[in-house]
Amino acid sequence: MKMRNILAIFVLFCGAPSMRAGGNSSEKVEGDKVWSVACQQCHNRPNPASYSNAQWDVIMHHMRVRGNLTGMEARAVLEFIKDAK
Amino acid sequence: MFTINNRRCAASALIGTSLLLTSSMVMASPSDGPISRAEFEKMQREMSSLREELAALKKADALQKTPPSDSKVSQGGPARVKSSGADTRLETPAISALKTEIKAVREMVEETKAGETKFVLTGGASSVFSAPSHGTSKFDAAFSPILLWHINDRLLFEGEVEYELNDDGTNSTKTNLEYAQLSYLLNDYVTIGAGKFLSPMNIFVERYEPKWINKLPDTPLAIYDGILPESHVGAQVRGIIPLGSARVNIAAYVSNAPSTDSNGSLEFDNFKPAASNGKAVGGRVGFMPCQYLEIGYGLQQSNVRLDGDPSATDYNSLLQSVDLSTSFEKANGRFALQSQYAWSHVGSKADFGVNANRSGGYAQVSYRGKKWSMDFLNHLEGIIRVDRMTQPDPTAIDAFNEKRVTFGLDYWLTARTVLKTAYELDRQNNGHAGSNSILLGVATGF
Ligand code: HEC
Repeated sequence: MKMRNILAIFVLFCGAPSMRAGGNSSEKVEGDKVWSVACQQCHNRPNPASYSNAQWDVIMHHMRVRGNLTGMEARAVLEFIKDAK
Repeated sequence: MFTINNRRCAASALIGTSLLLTSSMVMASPSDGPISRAEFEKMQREMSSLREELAALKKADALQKTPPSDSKVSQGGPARVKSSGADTRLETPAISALKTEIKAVREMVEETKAGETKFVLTGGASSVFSAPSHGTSKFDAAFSPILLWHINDRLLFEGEVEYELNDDGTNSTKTNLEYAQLSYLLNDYVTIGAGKFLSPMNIFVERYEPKWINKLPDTPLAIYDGILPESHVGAQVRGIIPLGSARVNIAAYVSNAPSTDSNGSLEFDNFKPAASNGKAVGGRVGFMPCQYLEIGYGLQQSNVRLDGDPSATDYNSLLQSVDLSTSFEKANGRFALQSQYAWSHVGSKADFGVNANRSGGYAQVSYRGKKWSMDFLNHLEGIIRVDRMTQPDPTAIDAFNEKRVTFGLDYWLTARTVLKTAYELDRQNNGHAGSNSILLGVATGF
């Protein structure tokens, strides 16, 4: 009973701030969603233009390890960042 | 999908068509015959349509050359830059083909820039002024360069050295190897790493400690320089288990064991020859019911010995911690909550004369403006942090318990440069005078 209440609170909380979060593993991972949700969990997002594409390749490898991103998420957000420049 | 080859084909087709058009015009006007009125008008029409196209191309090129402003991107993200009205108004197939071609050429140029393909030099620098109510005020400065080396698509080396000023009156600089880790991506979900790495159990250190990320000028009690380790020398494995829209982050490590002092307080300088041959085993499980909320539990178990006494007996030590963090947009801005609580147990009362149990942690809430019409507000961030540290028996071990509340106000100059101000209330027991402090800081990530 207690456990169910706790789970219900999480589900409510997760639904509250924005419905754009997504992230279902069976869906195609979308780079813009990773950019707008995951990339702001730990720090401000830097300007995509602050780094060259080659630098982004290296940084995304770093963030994949540090930021607990899956390979799919890292590739999708990398493509999104390069596209946005 | 519209591949680079297709784009090139489209662009060549465009150029080809224009050439054909021009040559057909030339061919349609043989030098030895008079031009009919119909032919002349047709030529005029073609000329004016070409002129229009050229003007549109020039305009599009000028737009391409204008770089997006820092604030535009950092606030609204790149999507805003892409969907600006000016872009879409001029979007004809010819222009988009040309844009794609320009982009492909730009990428080729970028990728051939020397020295930028594998290494990135990044890191941060900071300076803090602290004025305690009891004691002397002082300035401090630190600089921590990070080298990232993308050896190949699976292998990464990351190393950070921190240079800090010694406050022992010797005018010297302290150097600390924060981390030096080689990691290997086994597949899309699992990474293994070895070397000196930030403690996966200590999410403050892993995620929020870099000076341009930490919103306050100082670090929380107990979690930093307290009960939890900041780094390990050993090996780790990290994994992600997706569960629909939820996920579980797992990290497990084995490292050199810490040692203990005579008060049963753990010393984590575990790169020196350990007093015991022991190893520490630990890890953390983080549950993310959704992408902006994570709840974690971490533990570390090891046998430890008295510092510098290789023949002493082993004591059992157990460290545990819980953490909760979230960050989401609401009310014209972004809220963030970071919190972690840790507790440790070393040996028994018979070993140290006290029950060597320590505990402590912090909770921090912050709000950063994002979408206020008065832009000044979008650079401000307000922060409140409470933190505490409890010692086993302060009177017996000549220590003190401490509680603090810190109020901070930051001004973000860019996404990675911040001016920090804070006022810290500090209470200590066992005859120690807690000192309220004014803290001012500046930090940048590069
Ligand atoms: C779990 C926390 C976390 C997440 C999620 C995260 N970062 Fe980071 N990021 C960090 C930390 C911590 C650092 C600083 C690294 C250091 O100082 O050791 C950092 C550093 C950076 C840097 C500076 C260069 C570098 O590699 O150190 C960039 C750029 C960056 N992150 C971009 C991103 C982007 C883009 C995303 C989303 C894909 C992202 N981050 C997601 C924690 C995170």
